Formats: sequence, C-alpha cells, structure tokens
Amino acid sequence: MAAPESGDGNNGAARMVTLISSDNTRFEVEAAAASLSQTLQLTILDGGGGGGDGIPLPNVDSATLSKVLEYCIKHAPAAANGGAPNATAVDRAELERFDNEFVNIDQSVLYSLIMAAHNLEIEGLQSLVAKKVADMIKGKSPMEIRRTLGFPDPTPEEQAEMNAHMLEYGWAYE
Amino acid sequence: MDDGSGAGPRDWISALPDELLHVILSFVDDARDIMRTAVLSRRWRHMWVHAKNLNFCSLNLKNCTAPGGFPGFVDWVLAHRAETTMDSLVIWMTQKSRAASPEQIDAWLRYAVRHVLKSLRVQLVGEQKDHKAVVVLLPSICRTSYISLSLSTNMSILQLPALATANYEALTELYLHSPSFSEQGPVLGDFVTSCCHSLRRLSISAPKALFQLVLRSEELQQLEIYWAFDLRTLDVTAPNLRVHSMFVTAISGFPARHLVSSVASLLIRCSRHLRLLRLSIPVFTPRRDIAKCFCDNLEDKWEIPGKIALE
Repeated sequence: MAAPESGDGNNGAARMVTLISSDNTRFEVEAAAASLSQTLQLTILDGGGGGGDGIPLPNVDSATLSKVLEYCIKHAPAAANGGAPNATAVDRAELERFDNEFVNIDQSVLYSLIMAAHNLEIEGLQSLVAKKVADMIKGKSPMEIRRTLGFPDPTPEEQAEMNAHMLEYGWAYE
Repeated sequence: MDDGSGAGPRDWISALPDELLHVILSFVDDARDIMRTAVLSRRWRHMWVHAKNLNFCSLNLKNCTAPGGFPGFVDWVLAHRAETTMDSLVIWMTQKSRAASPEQIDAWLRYAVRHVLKSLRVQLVGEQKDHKAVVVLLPSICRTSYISLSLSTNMSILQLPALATANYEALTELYLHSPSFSEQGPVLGDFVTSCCHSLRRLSISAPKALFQLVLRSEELQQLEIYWAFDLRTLDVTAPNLRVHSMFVTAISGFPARHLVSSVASLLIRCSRHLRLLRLSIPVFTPRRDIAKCFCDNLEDKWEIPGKIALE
C-alpha cells in the first residue's frame, strides 16, 4: 500500500486513517481518499483517525462504506490535482467509465449511497447518484416514474387528487 | 432511515430528505419534467415549486399545448413557483416557438433577476408578427451573478436601467449577444462603469447601435467584443484586465472586412497585465487615415495596420 509522493508531504508514505462502520468493521484508507468527505476532512485535518483510534461512522454500514471508499480511492488522485488540469483525456474517460459502471447497481444500494454521500458530504458522489436517479425521471410519464422508482400504489384519495390535477393541467402530461 | 442491512426501503425515494430530492430535481433540469413530478405522490405535489434549477427549452416543448404555447408555459410555471430563490434559470426560445410578448419578456426578466442567484440564461429569437421593435428592459435591481442574454429577435432593443437606481453589485459575468442598444437611456459603458462594480467578465457579440464603449472598471478581468460593426470608439480603463483577455475580433471564416470596419479610435488603458491585444481590422479600411490605436504601454505609437498583435 506504499504510495510514493502522495499525502501531505509526510516523508513518502501516505498518511492512513481508520474508519469504523456502524457494524464495527474497520477500514484503513489513505487520508487523501477519505478527505473527499468534507466532514471527514475536518476530523483528519485535526489529526483524528490515525493510529488505533479510528473515526466511527454510526450512520454508514460496512457494505455501503466499502462502496463509498471504492469511489473515494478512485477519485482521490484527480481531486488532489484540484480538478486536474493536467489530467489527460484518457484519465477523464477512465473516470467517466468508472462512474457509469459504479452506479449501475440495485436501487437499494443507490439509496444507501446517496444517504451516505449526503451525511459524509461527498459532493461528487452525491451528484453522481442524484444524476442517475434524475435519469430515471427525465422524459418519463408519471406512471413510468412511479413504476421505475417503486412508489407504493396511491390511495384512492390520492389517486382522485392526481386525476383532478392531470385533468386540469393535461397539457403538461401529453 | 437505515435498517442496517444496507438495503433501502422499497419506496426508497420517499425516504430521502427534501434536500436530496432537490438535488435530484436539479439534475432533472427540464421544467416540464420537474413540474410533472407533482403527481407522483402527495409529498411530491408541491416539491417542484421549490426547484432550484429550471430549464425551459422550446425545443423540448415543441408541441407544447399549454395555454399560450411555450411562453404561456413559462408564465404559468413562474407564477406557480414558491417565492423562494433559485440557482439557475434558462429560458431558451428557438425560431419555431411562438414569440413572447414584450410584457411577458419584461415579466420574466423582472422575476429572474429577483429570484435567480447564480445563473440566468435567456435566448429570445423569433420575429414579432407586426414587425414592431420590442424593447427589452433590463430591471433596476439584480441579485444574479451570471447573466447571458441573447436577443436575436429582429428589432429587439435592449434598454438599460436608469443609472441612479440600478443595482447590479451581484453581477460578475455578463454576456450580451446581438443586443440592439437603445438611443434613449444610459449607454452600456456608463451602465457598466457606474452600476456593475463587481463585473469581472464582459462579453459582447454582434451588438447593433453600439457606437462607443467607454469603460472604467476596477474589477474587469476579461473583455471580449465580437462583430462590433457599428463601433467607432473603444476606450477602456481596466487595471485588472488579464493576459489574453481582450479580443476585438471575428471568428474564423467571417469576412474580416465586416469587422469593426470603422473604428476611429481605440483607447485601452490597462497597465502591464495585458500582454496581448488582438485586433482584426480590415486592410482596406475606408477610414484608414483616422484609425489610430492608443494603448498606454505602447506609448501612442501604434496605428492600426491590417492586423496587429502586441506582445
């Protein structure tokens, strides 16, 4: 795991931090990757998470955290370059391919991921998942959206309200 | 919210906080798609009225049967929005869409500069039926930081607000495409000089009736002027203009002789920051005898030949 020349100039070896999921699994990860999370970044800058301490994340289970860290590790080098002006087109294409693949997952995982990204303030990941969900809404009829996103069946009362709305603004639903 | 197994609830999207639903809606972008979410469930019924980004593009709404067509749809949505601020608003009309009336355009702009904080992009094209000039009035008070206004409507005239009451302190970037400037009211240079103190970038392309542009700006870093056929005097004092940032030029393929063909005087005071000034001026300018370029760090010694590039 020795990563030359990364980290914050700590003599070659990258600084590592430990994150502890809600089900008590410990993840050791480079500080640079964990710092994609704005919330973790503050703790890490304060010197937390090193040694045997670990940073507890009571809202994130291990399955979700491992997925989140997969994203962070992949995106950390580009983030370290500050938007990566020196990134090649190949690098960017590779990140894009990774992103597309990454959100090609079950909706329950999308849910856990966007919640975790929101709690940990990982903006890139939050946007990535939000965009994926937005694609399920764009250009679809309300019925298609409800089916795709698994909305519960409306109560008769709700259905009546919706019908009235659609009757009034039919032009929006053609 | 989290059942610990990593699997979300079946109706997981309803379990998301409002804040996240708005992040999702901001990526949905298209105004009609956003409005349609009103019938997803009771919770969604009024979600869309707080949407942070709205994009009205007449191409996406080609066969819009809303009362009043595309402009009517824009009116309807803006009228039903909550009185909250938004990040971005795009109103993009194409040739085929029904033209908006001057009153509608004024109302959109008034609404936009009060509610949109980050980015406002408006394109108005299409001909007015009666071929009368449409005056587009820029409102007095503006909270928006980025404005791009494209007025390709034939005969649409941009009227700037009265200098004494106008407040454009929030504005940092202004793009004006094919504006026709009004003979009445303030001129663009005075408007920028006295009301847009935070403006860092000004881009003007294909202006009509822009005869002179006299600018004094502390913050201005980038200035671009394209296809300024009517421009006679360009006089800019901007100590913070950056390298490679000032272009008075044509895009490639456009016949150079149509470009700023009769600039009589050009004054640019911009200190050492400006390293390159590119001017494409026709070789056979009809008024070549009086064409002169004054630039502080060039010691007034430049006359405009066919083309100059100063390093």
